[in-house]
Amino acid sequence: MSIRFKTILGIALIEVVFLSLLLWVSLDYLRSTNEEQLRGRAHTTAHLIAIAIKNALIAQDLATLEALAREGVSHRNDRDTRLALEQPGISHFEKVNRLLILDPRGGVLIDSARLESANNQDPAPSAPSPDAGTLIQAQVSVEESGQIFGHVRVILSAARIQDLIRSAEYQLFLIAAVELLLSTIFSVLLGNWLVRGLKRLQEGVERFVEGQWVELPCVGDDELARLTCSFNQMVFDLATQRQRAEKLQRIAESDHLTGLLNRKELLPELKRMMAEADRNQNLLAVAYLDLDGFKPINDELGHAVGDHVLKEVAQRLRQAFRQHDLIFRAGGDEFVLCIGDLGTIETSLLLLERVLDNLRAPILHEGALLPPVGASLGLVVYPLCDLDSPEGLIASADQAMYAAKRAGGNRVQLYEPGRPGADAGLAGTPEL
Amino acid sequence: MNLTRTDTFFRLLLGLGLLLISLSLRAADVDTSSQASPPTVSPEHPLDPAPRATGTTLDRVYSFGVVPQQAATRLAQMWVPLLQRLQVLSGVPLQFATAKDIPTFEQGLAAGRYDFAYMNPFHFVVFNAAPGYRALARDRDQRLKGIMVVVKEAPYTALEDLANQELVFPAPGAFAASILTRAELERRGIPFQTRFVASHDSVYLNVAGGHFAAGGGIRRTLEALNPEVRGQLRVLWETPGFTPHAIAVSPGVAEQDARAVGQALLTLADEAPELLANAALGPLTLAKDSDWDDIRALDVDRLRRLSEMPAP
Repeated sequence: MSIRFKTILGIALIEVVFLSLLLWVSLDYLRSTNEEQLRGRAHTTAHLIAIAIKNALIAQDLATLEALAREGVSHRNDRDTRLALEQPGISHFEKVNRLLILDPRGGVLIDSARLESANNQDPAPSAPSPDAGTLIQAQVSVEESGQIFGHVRVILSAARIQDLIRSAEYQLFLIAAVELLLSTIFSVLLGNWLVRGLKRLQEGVERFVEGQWVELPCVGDDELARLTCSFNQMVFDLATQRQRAEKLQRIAESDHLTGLLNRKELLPELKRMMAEADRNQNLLAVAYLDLDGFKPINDELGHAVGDHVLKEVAQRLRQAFRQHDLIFRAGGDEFVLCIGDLGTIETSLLLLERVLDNLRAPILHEGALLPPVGASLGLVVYPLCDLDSPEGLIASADQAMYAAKRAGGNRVQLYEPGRPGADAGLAGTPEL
Repeated sequence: MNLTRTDTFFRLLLGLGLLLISLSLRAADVDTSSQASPPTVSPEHPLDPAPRATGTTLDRVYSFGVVPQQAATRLAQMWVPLLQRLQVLSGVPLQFATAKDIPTFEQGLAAGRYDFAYMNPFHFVVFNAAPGYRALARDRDQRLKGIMVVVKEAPYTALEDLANQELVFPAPGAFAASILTRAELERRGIPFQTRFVASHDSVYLNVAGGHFAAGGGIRRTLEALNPEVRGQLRVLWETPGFTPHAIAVSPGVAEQDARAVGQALLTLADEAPELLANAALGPLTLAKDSDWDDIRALDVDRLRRLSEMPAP
């Protein structure tokens, strides 16, 4: 269950519970107060009617009682009734559904329902109309000086209250539904907004783990924005540390003077490239390079100039090769070149010839031209050489390089596995 | 762990919600069901069989009918306290009753509907004959007299001077003011026209205003009149005193109960004079049927005609 779903469910549940509680309490209150009011009115009405009929009831004047009951409580000829009804605020009584006038023992003297049915010449005894709803009744005794002469029972219909409750119910339910809808929409939006921020953070973390660094937008001053800003800061710090660590690593792995990889890295890297060549079914060329004419410069012009020449050579080698080709300084003026991804031996030979040409170009040092340096190169092409260890490859390339040196230098010598002899093992390449 | 705890929380929340909803539904149900059935009497309820009057050893309550001289409520105010005391004194349960008008009251007496009754002398004479009400008690000191009033300056000195005049009286059944006076006029052979008005006061006002030569009334109501109007009137003639209203008992009442009520009536003057006064009565005395022979001497048939009472 997602956070968003839980939030929405929780809010909706709380809303429903408390809204229904509120609804119930207010409807109950409405119902009880109205009923109480109606009961009070029934009682007052019964009282007024009791006053109105008192004389007639004491005199046992059934004709007058009947007339009074027939006209409800508005017998205009009776002074008491008229006075009672003309008091302000009580002229708008609930319609009396049924009026019973009882003798002191409770026997019915007058029943307005029977009078009506007699009026309508309805043979069936009057039953309360089905839509009358709840009935509220009140009974008042007609008493004089302690003797009870009879009772007045008034029955009112609570239908009006029920209508009122129904309409209140409708309105309240409508309000509650709108409220519920709005709060659900709000919680959905809130959930979306919260989760979007969290999701962005989560993606940022994942990309950082993968090594990318994306700065997340942090706008505003809410908790999420602050968290995002803090995340950005943390990622920035970590990235800086990682860069520094990488730099240190590179320094550890590279030759201090030339910035090329050092000899230590040679064997593992070569092993990796061999595996790659196997996988891609490509050729891998390994060349051992030794500078020609470097020793006199170093001896006669000093180590500083020698170092300059080495740096310049390293620079030119770097320019000659692609990013994924590796160049190692094997020590002194010796270098090892590993060139992957080759199609044929000829391609690698051509490439190395071009390198040789590059190296032969004059080197400038403090405005003066230095004597030109050349190079002797021994080349092994894996897997054509039938060798399967990095050490073997390097040793063979080294052998080929010596062969090139012996042949006068400034050339590329391909190692030929079929002829293991020092001289015979090497085939000279024509100078280009 | 975290997930489990969250799930538990949500389950608890859900449970709470369902509980509250079910509670509210149940409460609403209870509410409506309690409304649906009215607690006391359904409209279809048959006549309530109320218990008989309690607090007595007798199995019947006697009705005590009072002649409707005033509005029923006023009569009840006058008589109910008296009857309640009488009930205590006699041990006989009594219930006040009256009628909407004199003809109805007369019908009730004729039918013997009242077990005890307070009635005017003429009524007693009639209903003593049938259905046989017997005298129980009467006012000890009071004598009933009718008067004829004229304006002070009127030239009349005797009843005979009113011959051929239009005379005004209260209701035909008013015994002293209307029946006794007219009976005497007839007995003396004096011709006159009769006009009835609503009350004694109307009679006096009409006479004082010069609309009629004379009118019938009684001492008590004349004295209660506004002094300004009373000052314009004088009493021309007064009837002889007659035996006043009777408290009588119907033949259906057990002898011992009738006697107990009669004895209690006599003690009221000592026990509760204020209740007697409230009912406009003086001290009472035991009465015999023959006490009203003076009324009988007036010719009952004439009285019946004058009071407009239908023949039996």
